[in-house]
Amino acid sequence: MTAMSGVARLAALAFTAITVLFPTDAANAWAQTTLTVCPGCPLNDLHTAVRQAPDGATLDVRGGLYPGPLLIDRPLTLIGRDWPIIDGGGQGTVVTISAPDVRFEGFVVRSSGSSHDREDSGIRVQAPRAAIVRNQVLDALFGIYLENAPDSLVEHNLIVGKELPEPVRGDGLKIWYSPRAQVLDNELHDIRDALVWYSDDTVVQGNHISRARYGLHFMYSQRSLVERNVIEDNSVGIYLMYGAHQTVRFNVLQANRGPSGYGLALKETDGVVAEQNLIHRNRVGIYIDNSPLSPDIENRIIGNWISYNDTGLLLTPATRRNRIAGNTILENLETVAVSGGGRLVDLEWVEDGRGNFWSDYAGYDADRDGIGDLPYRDEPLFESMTDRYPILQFFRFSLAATAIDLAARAVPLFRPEPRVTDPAPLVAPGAWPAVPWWSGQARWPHALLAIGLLTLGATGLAAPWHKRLFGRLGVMGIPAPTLRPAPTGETGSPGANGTRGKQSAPGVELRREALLTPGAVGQPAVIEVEHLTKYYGKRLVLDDLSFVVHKGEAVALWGPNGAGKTTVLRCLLGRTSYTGEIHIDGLSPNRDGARVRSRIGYVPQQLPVLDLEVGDVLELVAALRGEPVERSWERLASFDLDHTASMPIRSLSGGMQQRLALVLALVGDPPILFLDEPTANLDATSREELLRHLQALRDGGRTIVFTSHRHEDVWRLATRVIRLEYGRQAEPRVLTPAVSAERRLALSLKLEDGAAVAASHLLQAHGFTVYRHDCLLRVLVEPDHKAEPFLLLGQVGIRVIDFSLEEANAW
Amino acid sequence: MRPRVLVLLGILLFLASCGQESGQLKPPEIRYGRDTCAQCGMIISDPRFAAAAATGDGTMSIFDDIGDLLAYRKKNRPEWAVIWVHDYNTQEWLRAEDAWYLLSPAIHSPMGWGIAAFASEEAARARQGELGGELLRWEELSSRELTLPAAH
Amino acid sequence: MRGSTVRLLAIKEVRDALRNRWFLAYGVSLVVLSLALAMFVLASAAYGPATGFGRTAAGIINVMLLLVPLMGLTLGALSLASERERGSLDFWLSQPLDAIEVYLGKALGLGLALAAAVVASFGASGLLLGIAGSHRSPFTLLLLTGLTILLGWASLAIGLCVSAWAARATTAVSIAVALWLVLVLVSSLGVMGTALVVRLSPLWLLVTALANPVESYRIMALKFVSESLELLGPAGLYAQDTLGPYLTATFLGSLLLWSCLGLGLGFLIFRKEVLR
Repeated sequence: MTAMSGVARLAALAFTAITVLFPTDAANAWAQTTLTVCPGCPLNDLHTAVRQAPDGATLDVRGGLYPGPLLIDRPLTLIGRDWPIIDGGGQGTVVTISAPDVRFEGFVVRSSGSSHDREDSGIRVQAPRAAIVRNQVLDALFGIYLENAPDSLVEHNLIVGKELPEPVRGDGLKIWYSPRAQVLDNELHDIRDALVWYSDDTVVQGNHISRARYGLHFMYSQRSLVERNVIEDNSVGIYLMYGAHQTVRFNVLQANRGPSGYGLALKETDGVVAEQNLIHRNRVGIYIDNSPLSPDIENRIIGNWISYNDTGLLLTPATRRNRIAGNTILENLETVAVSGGGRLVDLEWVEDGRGNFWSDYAGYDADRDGIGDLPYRDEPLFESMTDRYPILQFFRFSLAATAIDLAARAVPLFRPEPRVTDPAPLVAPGAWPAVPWWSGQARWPHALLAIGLLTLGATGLAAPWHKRLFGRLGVMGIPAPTLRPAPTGETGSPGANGTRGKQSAPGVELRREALLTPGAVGQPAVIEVEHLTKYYGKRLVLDDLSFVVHKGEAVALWGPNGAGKTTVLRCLLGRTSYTGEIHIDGLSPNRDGARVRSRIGYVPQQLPVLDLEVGDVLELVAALRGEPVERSWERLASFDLDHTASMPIRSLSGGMQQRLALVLALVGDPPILFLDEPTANLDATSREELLRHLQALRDGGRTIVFTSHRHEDVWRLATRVIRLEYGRQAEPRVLTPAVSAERRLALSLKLEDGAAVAASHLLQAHGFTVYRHDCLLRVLVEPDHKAEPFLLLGQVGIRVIDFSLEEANAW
Repeated sequence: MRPRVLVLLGILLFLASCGQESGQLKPPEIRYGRDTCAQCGMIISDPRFAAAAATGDGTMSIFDDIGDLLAYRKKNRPEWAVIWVHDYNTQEWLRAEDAWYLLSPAIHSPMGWGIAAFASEEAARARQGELGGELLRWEELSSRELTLPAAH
Repeated sequence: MRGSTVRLLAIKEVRDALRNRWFLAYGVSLVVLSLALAMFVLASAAYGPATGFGRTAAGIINVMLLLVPLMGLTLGALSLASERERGSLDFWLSQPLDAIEVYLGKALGLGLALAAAVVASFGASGLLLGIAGSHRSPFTLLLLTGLTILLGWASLAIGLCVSAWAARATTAVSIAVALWLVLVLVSSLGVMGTALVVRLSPLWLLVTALANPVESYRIMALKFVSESLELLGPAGLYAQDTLGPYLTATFLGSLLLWSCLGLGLGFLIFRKEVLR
C-alpha cells in the first residue's frame, strides 16, 4: 500500500520534472514532425532517420532489431514501441547522445563492447538535459553514462551489467561532471558501481540497486538527496566520499555483505544527514572514517534502524563531531567497534536529552519517562582487544572470548574504558522508519521444519520404548546363531517335567561310576584344550593346561582361590587372549568368539547389576541368541520368575538373580553350559534349588563345565573333576576317596547379633572357608584343628553362643 | 575430496614456510575485488592503476590509484624500500622508478588522480597522442605538488 | 559383524541413555537453554519487522559449544568405563557378540541419543522462532542442527577413547572434563596468547582450529549463519581464501575425522582391554 502511493507520488514528481526540463518549444516540435521507423517501413534505418529528422522531431520507433552503434547528434525525441532493440554487437558504445534536449525512451539497448579504456557504454550522454526513460540497458559494460550532461533525467530504466567478474565489470550508472541529475525509480543489477562524481545536487530516488560492488558511490559531490532507495546484496551500500551536505534518508541498506560490507560509509565527508534509514544485516551497519573533515560541521545520524549487522557502527578514532541519536541499535553481533583500536572522543550520543535504543542495554526505567535511568556503556574487553589486534577476531564467539569478557566484568582492573557512553538510552525502540520495504515473508516453512525436527527427536528417543521391540526384531531379523545339536533327552526347563525330587538319586549312582573313569566313553569331544597358557602381565596364571571335555560330561574345575579356574572359563569363552589351542565344536574362541559363545550358556558368579528390567534383558538376550521371545518367556515362567518381568534386576534377591542368570544362559538352548561358582552367594535353600536345576540339565545331556571350591557342588554335579593348583593341572583324582582322606568338618557357630560380619572377615583372613547366614556362620575346619575358630574369635572378644559340628559332605 | 584438501593444506604450509624465508621483496598479489586501498579504504578492482609499496622488513601497502600512493606517502612518510606500479597496457608490475607516467584528466583512474604508468616511453607517448596530458618520470611525479581533484 | 545385532544393541543403548541421569540432565539443559534463548530472540524480534541472526541468537552457538562437547565427552567416557566397573560389560561380552558389535552398538546408540537431544533442542527453539518469524532461511537451522550433531559425535568418539582406556568411571569422567576444558577454553586462550606474543600467522590459527573439533564447529557454525568468514577478521578471510571451495569440506572433514579417529582408536584400545 505504502509502496503504491510512493510510486504514484514519484510518478507525479517525475512528470513535474519532465515538464520543467522540456520547455515549450520542444513540446511544439513534438507536435510538428513525427517520423515512424520500423523494419518493414520505408524508413527502416535509425541512422538515416536521425540524419533526416529535423531538430525537435519525434522518431516513433517500432519493435525490431536495429544494429548499433547509434549517434544522436541533434535534439530529437526517440520513442520506442514494443521494445525496439539496438544491438551494439559487442563493439564500443551502443547509443551516444551528443546533442542537448534529447529524449530517449522505450528501447532495449544491448551488447556494448568491454573496453575499460574507452569506457564502452550502453547509453552515453554528452550533452545537457537528456531524458533517458523506460529503457532496458542489457549486457553493457557501463550502463548509462552521463558525461558532462547536466540537468538530465534517468528514470524507470533497467540496467543489467555484463556477465563478468565483479572487479572487471563497468559502472551501471556513471554520473560525471553532470550536476542536477535526477535518477528516479531505476533498477540496477549485476554492475560494478553506480557512481556520482563531480556532480552536485543529484537526486537519487526510488531506485533498486543490487549485486553491485558499491551500490551508490558519491565522490567530490555536494548536496545530493538520496531517498527511498533499496540497496541490497552489494559489497557496500552507499559510500559517501570527499563531499559535503549529502542527505540520505528513508533508504533500505541491507545485506551488503561483500568485501568491506558497509551499509552506509562516510569517508571524509562533511555535513551528512542520515535519517530514518533501515540499515539491516550488513557486515558493518555504518562506517565513519574521519568525517566530517571540516572543523565546524556536524554529521547527523538520526532515527535510523541499525539492526542485525555483524558490526553496528564502525568508527575510526579520528572521527569527531557526529551526532548519533534516536537510532534503534538492535541485535548487532558487535554494537560498536573502533577501527584499529583506540578511543572515541567528541561524539554526541544524545539529542534533546534523548539517546539511542540499544538492545543490549541492561538498565531500567523506574520513572517511566522512556529513558533508562542508568547510562548505556559498551565496554566488552574482548572486543576492545579485537579492535587493536584484528587477528583476534578469529576467536569471536569462542568460549575463551566469553571468558575474557566475564573476567573483565568481574575484575574492575581489567575493565576497558567504555567505547560508547550514552547518558540517556531509550528503553523502547524508535518508530519504524518510512522505508519502501516490508517484511512479508511466510513463516510457515520454518515452523513446519521445527515441528519436523521436534518429531524426529521425540521419535528417535521414544522408538526404543516400544514394548517388545527387541522381541519383534529378534523374530524378524536375526537368524539363530546357534548350531543346535539335537540334545539327547529333554532340554532345559527342569521345573516343567516334575522330576525335581527324584532325579538326584540315580544321579548320584551314575556320578560315582563316572568319577572313576575320566571322559564319557563313546561320546565325541566337545571341548579340547591343549597347552593352554595365560599370563596376566608377567604373572603366569595358567601353565600348559590340557584337557578334553566330552559331550554330556559335567566337569568341575576345582581348586583353591587363585588357582585359575575362572581364567580357564574366560579363555574357553574367548573373552581373553591366550596361547595354546582351544577347540569348542572345532572352533577357536580366539578367532571365532561370537560363534563359540553362541554354543555356550554362561552363568557368571554374579549377574551384574543391570539397570534394565528382567523382561528387557530377557528379550534382548533372546533376540541376540535368535530365540523366539515367547519361548524365552516360557523359560522364565518355568523358573518361577515370570512375576519379576517388569522388576529391575537390582531388586531381585540373590537366589532369584542366580536363577535368572541360568534362564538367560539357557536362552537359545546352547549345548554347553559354563558356570562360575554358581552357588557361592546363595543361601542353603537357594543353593539346593539351583543344584537340582543343574542336575536336571546335566541329565538332560548338556555338557557342563563349572568352577567351584565347594565339595558339595562338585560332589552333586560333577561327573569328573579337574583339579587346578597354581594354574597347573594337579593329578586327577577320584573325588570321593580324596574328599574322605582330606575329610573336613563344618562347624556351625551361632554368634551374638551384629558380630557375624566381622567374625566371617576375621576367619576368612585366617584362611578358613566361611559361609554366613544371618548370625549363623559355617566354617570348614580340619578334623584336628576344630577349636581354632573359637580361639580366634575369643581373642577379639566375639562371643560364640552355640555351635554344632557336622560332616562337611553332608550339606 | 579429502586427500586433495589435505594435500592442499600441506602445500600451503610448505609455501608459507618458503615465502617467509626468501629475503627478496616481491610485489604483492592483490586480490582484486577484495583487498582495500591503504589510503582511501576502497576496494581495489582495477589492476591498471593499482600500486604497492613495501618497507625493508616486508610490510606491504597496496593502493587503488597511483595518486593515492603518493598522497599516503606525503601524509604518513613511510620508509619504503621499494614501490611498484602497474603498466597501464599490460597490467604487469613495474618498479616505480623504471616507469613513464602520463598525467591526464582523460584518464579515469579509480580515485580520479588521472595517472597511468607505462613500461616504455613509446607506449606512454602513444597513449599521450590519444588522450593528451603530460609525460613525467618518477622523480618529477613524486616531487610534484598533487592536489585532490575537486568538483567545478 | 552383523548389522542387525549392532542395531539391537544400539536400541538398548538409547534406552539406557534415557535412564541415565547424566544424559537426562544434559538433554534438559540443552532444551531449556535453547528455549530460553529463543524467548529472548522473540522479545527482540517483537520490536519490528527487521529480523535476523543477532547477538542473542548467536548465543545458541555458545550454548552448543559449551554443552554439546561436555555431553559427548562425559557420556562417552562414562559408557564403557562404568559398564566395566559394574560388570555388565562382561555380561554382554559373554553373549554371542563380537567386541566390535558391542562397541559399535554402544557408539551408535549413544550417538543417536545425543543427536536426538540436539535435534529436540533445535526443534524446540526453532518452533518458537518459526512461529515468530525469522528471516533466516530454515535451511540454516537444519545445517546448524547437523553440524551440532557432528560436534556431538566427535566429542563422543573422544570420550569413548577415554572410556576404553580408563579403568574406572571416575577416572574416565575426570579425564573427559579435563579434555573438555582444554578443547573449549584452554587451547583457544593459549593460541590467543601465542598469537599476540609471537605474531602467529593466520595459517597457524587455521591449523590449530582444524585440529580442535570445538573450534572447527565454531567456525563452521559462523560460516553457516553469516555465509562468509569475514566475521572472523583477517584470519577468517585467510581461511576463506586459501581453502576456497574446500572450506566447508575441510572443516566438516576435520569434525568427521575426529569422529572416525576417535571411534577407531577407541575400538583398538577397547579390544585390547577386553582381551587382556
